[in-house]
Amino acid sequence: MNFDEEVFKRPNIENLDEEFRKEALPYMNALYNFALQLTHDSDDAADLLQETYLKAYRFWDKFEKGTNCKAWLFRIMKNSFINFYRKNTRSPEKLDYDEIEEIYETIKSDEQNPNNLERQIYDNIFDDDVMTAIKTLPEEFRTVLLLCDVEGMTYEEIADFLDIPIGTVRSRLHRARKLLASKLYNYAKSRGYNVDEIEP
Amino acid sequence: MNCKEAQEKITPYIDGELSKDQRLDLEKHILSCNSCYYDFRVESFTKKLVTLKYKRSEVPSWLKDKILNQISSHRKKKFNPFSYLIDLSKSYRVEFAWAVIIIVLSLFLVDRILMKSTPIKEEQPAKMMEMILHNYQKIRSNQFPQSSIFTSNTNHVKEFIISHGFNDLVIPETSWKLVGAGIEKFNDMKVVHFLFKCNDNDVYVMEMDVNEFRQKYNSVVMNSLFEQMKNTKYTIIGRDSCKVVMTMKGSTLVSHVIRHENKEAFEELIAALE
Ligand SMILES: [Zn+2]
Repeated sequence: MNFDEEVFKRPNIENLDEEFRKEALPYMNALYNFALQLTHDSDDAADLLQETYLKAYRFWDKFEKGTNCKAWLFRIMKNSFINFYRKNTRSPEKLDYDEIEEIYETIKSDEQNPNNLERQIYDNIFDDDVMTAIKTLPEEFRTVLLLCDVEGMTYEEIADFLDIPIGTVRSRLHRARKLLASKLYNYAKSRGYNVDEIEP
Repeated sequence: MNCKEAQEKITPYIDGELSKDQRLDLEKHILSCNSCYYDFRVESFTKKLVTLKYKRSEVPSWLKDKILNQISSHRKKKFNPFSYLIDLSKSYRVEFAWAVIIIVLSLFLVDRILMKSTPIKEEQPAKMMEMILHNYQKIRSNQFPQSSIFTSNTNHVKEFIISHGFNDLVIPETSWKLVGAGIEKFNDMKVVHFLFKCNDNDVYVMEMDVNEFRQKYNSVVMNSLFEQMKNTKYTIIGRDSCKVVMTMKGSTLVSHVIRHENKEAFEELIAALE
């Protein structure tokens, strides 16, 4: 081995930087979106993202190599958020679960063929509608939905991350999707679609 | 499977959270139940829509640049491999504890180095102490060391030390992992400081044979410490936070270093020593 190289280049510090670059930086977009979800404010989200990366960098030696780096970064962000930003955000909206069921059941009785429902929604909504519908979901639903469907986390990871039981993850996802389907159906209808005209 | 059971399985089915048997059970039910089939279709469709249509916001490029700059400037501050010793010092007591460890190690090493060049004289320990404190001040102010190595490979540290002319230096055998060394020139002498890796919950044990040490090196500071230690079961430095518990086992001085988070290990150790 060549000491001079090791002594002067300080390879461990170089390696650390390289590893951080490879492991942690690719999640910047995912984290930024999560920061937006948490803060509802692009300035706060930018601050939160910066803080998350600085902390992650400072504590990089605490990250266990080979474990889920994304989950680790999300946890750092969540903790930073709880510590510094929570006071700035509104309290989560309350939604009656029975109400969700009711809206959904009404649609189900209106539109008994799922093929039709899918076609109507596909044909009558824009991409932006999906974004809007997700944004108007109550926070607790929106968070699990995005962690599952956009970030691809498992129930176990979500449960661990949000400190809720796995059963709660499941039921929130179930309700989030029912609510979302109802919203999208209503958007489709409001775009001039008439239920009676579709079926021959 | 009834509808109630099926309803609970639809969501995890869609998300790929069911076992093969559970999947088959549910499939059997939804093929024979229109209502559950409907719910299954709508929920799958909704998930697909979210996955396909949800667009993440891009991190603005100014923000990306800012973060990368922050990290790379942070790196410069992080450069001193000895700085974590300072980071560990959350209170003056901990600082003191670490200072003591550094001083003990330094004393040990300086004594050896002095022995190599000139015979020990009576007045030298005071001079040594002064020098060690001077070194500690330098560590605190990040000016230390002049040449250093910081690596996960203990052998590289040893080779580094040899490459600086310390051919027959005995590295203290401890359960700490040797991860670095710093060489310092002081007047005409070279001094080696060792860096040992610390984890939050470990208990570090350093053992030193006092008789051997006292025979070879006539350090007044160490002698008085050992004399004092003889008459007590143990000595604790840094009571409330990071603790150094020193005790004598025959002629061996054993130092246990316990991070303040690790209360259990501390209590266990004290119980064992009592
Ligand atoms: Zn059924």
